[in-house]
Amino acid sequence: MDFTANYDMFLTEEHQILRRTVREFAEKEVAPFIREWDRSGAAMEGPETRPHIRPILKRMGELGLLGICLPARLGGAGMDYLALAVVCEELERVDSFLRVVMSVHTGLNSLTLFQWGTEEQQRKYLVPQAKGEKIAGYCLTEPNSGTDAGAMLTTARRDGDSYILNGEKTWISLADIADHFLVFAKTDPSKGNRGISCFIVERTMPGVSSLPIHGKLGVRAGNTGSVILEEVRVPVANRLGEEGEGFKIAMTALDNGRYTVAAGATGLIQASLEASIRYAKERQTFGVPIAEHQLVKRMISHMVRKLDTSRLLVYRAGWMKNQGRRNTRETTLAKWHATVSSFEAADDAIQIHGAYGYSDEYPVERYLRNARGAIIYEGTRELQELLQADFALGYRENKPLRRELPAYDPDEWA
Amino acid sequence: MHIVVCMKQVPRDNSVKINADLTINADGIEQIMNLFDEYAVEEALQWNEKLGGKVTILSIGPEDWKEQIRRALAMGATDSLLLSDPAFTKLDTFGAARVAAAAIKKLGDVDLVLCGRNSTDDETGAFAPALARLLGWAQLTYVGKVVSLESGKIVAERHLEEVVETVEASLPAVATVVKGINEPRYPSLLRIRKVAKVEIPTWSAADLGLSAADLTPALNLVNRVPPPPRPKGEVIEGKDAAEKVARLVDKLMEAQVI
Amino acid sequence: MANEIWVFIERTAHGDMAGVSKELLGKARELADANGMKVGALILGAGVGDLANTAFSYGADTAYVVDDGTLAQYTTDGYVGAAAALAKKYQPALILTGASFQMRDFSAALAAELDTGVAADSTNVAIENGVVSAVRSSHGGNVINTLTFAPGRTAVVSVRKQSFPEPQASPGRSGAVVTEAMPSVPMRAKVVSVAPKQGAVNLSDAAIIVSGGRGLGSPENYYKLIPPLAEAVGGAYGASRAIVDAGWVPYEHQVGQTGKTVSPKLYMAVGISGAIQHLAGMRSSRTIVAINKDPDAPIFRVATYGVVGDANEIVPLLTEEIKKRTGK
Repeated sequence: MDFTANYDMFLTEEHQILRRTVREFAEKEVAPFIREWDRSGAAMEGPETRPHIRPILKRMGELGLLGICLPARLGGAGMDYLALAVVCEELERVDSFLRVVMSVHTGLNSLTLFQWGTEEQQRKYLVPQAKGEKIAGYCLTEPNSGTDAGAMLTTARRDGDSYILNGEKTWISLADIADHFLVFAKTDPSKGNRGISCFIVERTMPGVSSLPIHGKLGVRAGNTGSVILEEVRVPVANRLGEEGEGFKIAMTALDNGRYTVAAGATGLIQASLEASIRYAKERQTFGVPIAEHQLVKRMISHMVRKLDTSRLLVYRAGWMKNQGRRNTRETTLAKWHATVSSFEAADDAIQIHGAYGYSDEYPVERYLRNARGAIIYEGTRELQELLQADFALGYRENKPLRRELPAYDPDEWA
Repeated sequence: MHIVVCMKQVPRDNSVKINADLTINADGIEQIMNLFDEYAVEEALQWNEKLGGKVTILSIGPEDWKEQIRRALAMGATDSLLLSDPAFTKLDTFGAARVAAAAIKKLGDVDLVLCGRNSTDDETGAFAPALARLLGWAQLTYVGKVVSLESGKIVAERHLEEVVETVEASLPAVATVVKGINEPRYPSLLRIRKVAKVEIPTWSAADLGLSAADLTPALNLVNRVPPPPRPKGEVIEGKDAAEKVARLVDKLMEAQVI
Repeated sequence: MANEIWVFIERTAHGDMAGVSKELLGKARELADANGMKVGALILGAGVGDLANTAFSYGADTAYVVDDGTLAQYTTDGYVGAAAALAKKYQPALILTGASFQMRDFSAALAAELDTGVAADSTNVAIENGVVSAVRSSHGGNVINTLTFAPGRTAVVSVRKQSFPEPQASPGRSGAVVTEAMPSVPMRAKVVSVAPKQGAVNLSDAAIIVSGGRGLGSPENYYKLIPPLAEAVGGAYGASRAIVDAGWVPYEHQVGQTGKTVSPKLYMAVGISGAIQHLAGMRSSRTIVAINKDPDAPIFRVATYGVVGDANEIVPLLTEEIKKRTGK
């Protein structure tokens, strides 16, 4: 059956055409090769050598996926935030490394420039990113600072019309590929979160280098690495937002990044479910297809529940973004539920596939490995849990921001 | 140059069921643009880019079957036309050809009609030939390359089983294309937005001046069943690959197939 | 309506009668005998030579011939024009053709010209109480349709090759020859040139097909294993859609719903899991051999003989064994 049907309260015919287009792209240009690409990232040393990444990014750019939910005047496709979710679902339905691109390039970086950037910054950086001519990354995490961003050690020292950046960022998706980075650094190391500022850094700036991380459990077809900043001189014009506003910027970026992660996880649940249905009808034990066995049926039905609930949570968050409403609570709930569900769904998919599911003969073991990371990155499961409680208990509320993510405007964006 | 592409919406896969009244039940199966028609759309767009003019997507189906038409518009088609009428629900291939012929005559200024070589559901491949005869136009089936297209004339390669036949025909003409004639583009995301609000003109049987007789199937469907199951096969066992191979060759020689 | 069944006589590249025409003459004879009808051979061309006698030897009673320079090469207008004029004059109850691309082009246009219908790519045809019926599959072989033609209209049925056995020829059997002049019809298309197809693969005609799929692992393995095995069994080689789409093998070789539909006497599927689209294109093959390392692959459900194992190990052994045993 068509698991994407009957979402007409959120999605239009445009979204359906978009879904079909992205699905065709992923199935035709990625799916036939993904096992090899994933294997190629399993055992490697030295510099980044996954040659498939740049051509795929180029194709995604040509298609307009990288600027999907940005106005046409900024080089985007002029579609809405729900379209971003549809793209992420369909990409991660084939492999997580494709969705990770949308998360960092579009969600964490481009939408942040859209929300916080000056006209000049948008013209210089956002437009080429929306068109896919330049690839963008997001550098918040450090070796000793993840969830606790205030503990970061990277510094930005003011020197005339510039800042001088020093530090090491790690677990950066597309570290070896991206042209532009949003880098968070302390302009006032004496302060915690309030001492953080945000900068637009170009790879070509002297003192920027990167190296890949090897031996990842999942997303092996994608590039992840560290970005090293040594006496990097960044013009003041490249500071995003005001000095000390970096933490707020980082958190709003995560409202968009987590949204893409949640949508992608929904796609991964769907992939697990589809693979399971196919296999359960094919494989026979005790003279009947295993789909006839009740405990297999239970795993299938639980996947369906997780798929629909995740998708509904994602679309609610997307609908709120379209309206211009703050959606931190709704987005984090979607991210928590969808990522945890995607791991469980992939796990059940392996169970349904039996021993075959344990080898890369079938894609389900890759789904499981790929699903695991999203329970850690862009806010751990535990952080999301606390956040939901704090919202419910009234310990936390959304405070107004100096700049909000623009609501979707179908006429102005077209 | 005005090129019309006849486009059919079909189930994504053919795991269909048969209803008690012998109609096909494709419930729950995603509907897509017939694969061969995508190549026809792409071919029309490429020639339109060279020559200018119009590319009209023509489809027969219910009112809510507009998604695939919009998809073709988002690929770059300039115009569209949906032929929709409750009386069209039981059309057979030739009935569909009569409906399309009436519409193309009404459009008036058409130079070339492109279709996929067949639909992947009914698989008759008879729509385009019937259409060509009804219009009294030249017919070029199984085209694997359009060599040239100019005012009044088309030269195309027909890719047959063993030969490539180069044919020159006068326009207007009806041609069907095979897979591989080109690489169909993806819809442009910018155009998806633009075409979302385009009004798709819809013509009914009355608009086309068609009578009940025009829509009557030429053939009567008297039975429709799933294929009989194949006789149960046999797994060739053996202690190693060589033994399995030897036994397989025994079986094949016994059955006189090699 | 005349009491006749016509068979369109197709020729091979050498000018001989095509096998499918013999099969159809045999079937027409059987139907004619059972229903008190006659068999007509529809012979169009330029310099048709002895074809009428060949048709008589395979069961035709009458040959309807248009021998004209206009018909030197197949054109829709020329052939449909000539056939329609004959059919309108002599009113056969049924016209049978093969189902090659050329015949699909011809039969559909002829049916439209005669204001009747066509049962395309059929696998069986019958006449009962004067009503012609045909059996054809649709929906990738998942649906088998039986269609009847309205009495009083000429039925047109194109028939897939090897649907009927080829009859024994009876040399010396004779019949009547009716020759008609080429009618005047508009010729809207002309054949400029005919060239052999580069790397032509006539899968539809092959008696044996060996196909490979994604399970082979790489295009190198495909070319190392599949063509040699095909050569050893004297067959053509095919491919699944997955590896055609991945660019391993040209589209010409694709078997399946969007490729060729084939029904050879032997189909060998190597490293093909058996996606529904692939099964659609080959499930009516008479004998199916499946070689796959996954014992649960759906291909085994349609296979006559299944071998579970690694194609890279089995296929070279199989190729050698077949060469040895068949003395090639």
